[in-house]
Amino acid sequence: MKIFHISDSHVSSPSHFNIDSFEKAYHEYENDVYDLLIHSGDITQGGQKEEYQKASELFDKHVWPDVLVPGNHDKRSGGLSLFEKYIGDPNGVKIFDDTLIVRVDSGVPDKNDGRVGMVTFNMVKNNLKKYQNKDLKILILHHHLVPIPMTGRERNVLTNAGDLLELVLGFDVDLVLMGHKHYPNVYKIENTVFVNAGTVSDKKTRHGDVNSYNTITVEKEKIDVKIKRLDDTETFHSFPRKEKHIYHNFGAKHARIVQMSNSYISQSSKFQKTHFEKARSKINNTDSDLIIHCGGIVEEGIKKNYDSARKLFSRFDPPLLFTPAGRDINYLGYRLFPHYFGDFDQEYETDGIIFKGISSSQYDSKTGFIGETERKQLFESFQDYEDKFTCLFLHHNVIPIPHAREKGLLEDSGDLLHDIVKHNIDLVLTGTSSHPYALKINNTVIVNANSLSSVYTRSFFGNSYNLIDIFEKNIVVTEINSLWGNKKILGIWERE
Amino acid sequence: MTQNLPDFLQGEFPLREFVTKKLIGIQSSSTVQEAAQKMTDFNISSLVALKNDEVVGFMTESDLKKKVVALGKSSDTPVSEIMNDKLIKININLTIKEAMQEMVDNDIKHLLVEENDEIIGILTFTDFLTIEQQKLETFIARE
Repeated sequence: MKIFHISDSHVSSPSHFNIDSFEKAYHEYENDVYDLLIHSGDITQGGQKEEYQKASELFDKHVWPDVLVPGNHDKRSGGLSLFEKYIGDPNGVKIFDDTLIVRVDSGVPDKNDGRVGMVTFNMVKNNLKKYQNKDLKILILHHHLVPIPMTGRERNVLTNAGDLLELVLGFDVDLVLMGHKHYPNVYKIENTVFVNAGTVSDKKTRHGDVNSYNTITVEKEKIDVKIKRLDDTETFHSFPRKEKHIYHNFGAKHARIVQMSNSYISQSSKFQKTHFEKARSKINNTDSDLIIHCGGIVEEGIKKNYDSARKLFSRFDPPLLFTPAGRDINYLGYRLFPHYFGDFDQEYETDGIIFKGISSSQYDSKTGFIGETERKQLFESFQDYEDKFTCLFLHHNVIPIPHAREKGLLEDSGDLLHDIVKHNIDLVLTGTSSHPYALKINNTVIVNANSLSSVYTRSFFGNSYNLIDIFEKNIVVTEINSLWGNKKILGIWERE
Repeated sequence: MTQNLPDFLQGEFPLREFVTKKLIGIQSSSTVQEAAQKMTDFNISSLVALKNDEVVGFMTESDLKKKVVALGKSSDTPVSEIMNDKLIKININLTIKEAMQEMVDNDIKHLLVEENDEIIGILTFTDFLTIEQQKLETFIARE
């Protein structure tokens, strides 16, 4: 199947809309044969009647896309009723041959943020369930599910991106097509290819980029994506569709890492000391090489909590690395953290593996930020270890977390994720939102830890920590319940 | 039976969304000692047995107990001698309820999950038991 994917046409006055780009993209569409033409939203600039009329005339002149979804701009000024009048139902399904296409309205009227409401979410879920045996499953929406690089602060994200991402991965959706940020991007997460289109004809591009579109070819064994810029350059990505399910030859074990987060030590009942002590006892009997605590050591950054934390953590046998969460460095915590637990950015090396922590937290703020200078220095420093297994750890998540409202917790997560993928960092450990989660994006395994011992967990499995076994050929992530010690495999992946 | 499941698993909850689509295997020519070591390393209660990358059998902790230790067999016994070569499978497009029914009908606690004739995951009885253990934890750890 061949798909021609355009987005963010922003049909309007010439101050925004570049008709030459629009015509050129259509010319290229008409010069080849495609099975589907997809427009992933922001058809118009302001949701105005004149803009919808103009877009309709342009589509009449050429050919209407097979699937269109509304973007945030299309829902401005009551634009949704016009979308329904000129285009049709913003949500729905299309089924042909062995293919399922689900289109989703992810916009919120007069807001740039996106949200997939409960009714629409259930529509997506019910259709993915009903047609789960289709060979090719495609989801189309405007807002991005995964942070996009080169687009400044990570904002206007889908607020329940984590839930939708979980749904997409759970139902083995093959392809997700999106737009919104006017910057083309492609990632593969687990067995799903996430494709963002740039803007096909808006004059607002980023970094002096030109307008672009994507072509996607889906075959039995692979999905190929071409980002085609209108200056006649292109970027090519190819991903295999076949997923490995059974693992048996792991090779020698190189290291076992314990990952934990949100121990939440305090004098209050929110800290569950029994869970902490039971976890400690199990970890000391686990033959681990290292413990990485991904933030949330204490409930608040006050001396009494830090005194308790130091005492409790001194009883762990393996060496410990820490990175702070915002709560660790509020009040006097900014001074107490380095005094009690060492540098904000900690580092460790063992048996060909390099671990580097980066502090993503800011005091008195839940929002994380790395910053351009720090990020640049971080990845330059990783270049010295190209032949080694590399692990980055920080508190804030770089991939949306299920069951947590996604507000762009790490403001520059788009750029950080891009650098992580570009530099083939082998493993990234995060510890926010108290939800255990592990996935592979391109060549990088990303693992988020649940809360070790706080009452604030989002998992039915209870409080837990993760064991990460690094073998010669594989990485295995297992979640261990803090209290009972029962285990759940979160994922197994081949090392690249 | 499904009445005891938490609300979110009631009714027609799809198996695909619930099951981990990764599982651990061992060569059928390996010894039961190696199999026991693998189960211990990963703290799992079953393994699929492979021959030339094809699944040819399935073994559980219970097989080790009944077919090796209780009979006084050597730890060098090959997995192929004790594995179950009749594979009980369920299609991933079915529901949790149907999977549980399959387990009850066959009197088993492990069920292989398949898609397009390929085994892609495993469902174990303990998966259901651990789902809502947080309620119990909250009771125990009231401090």
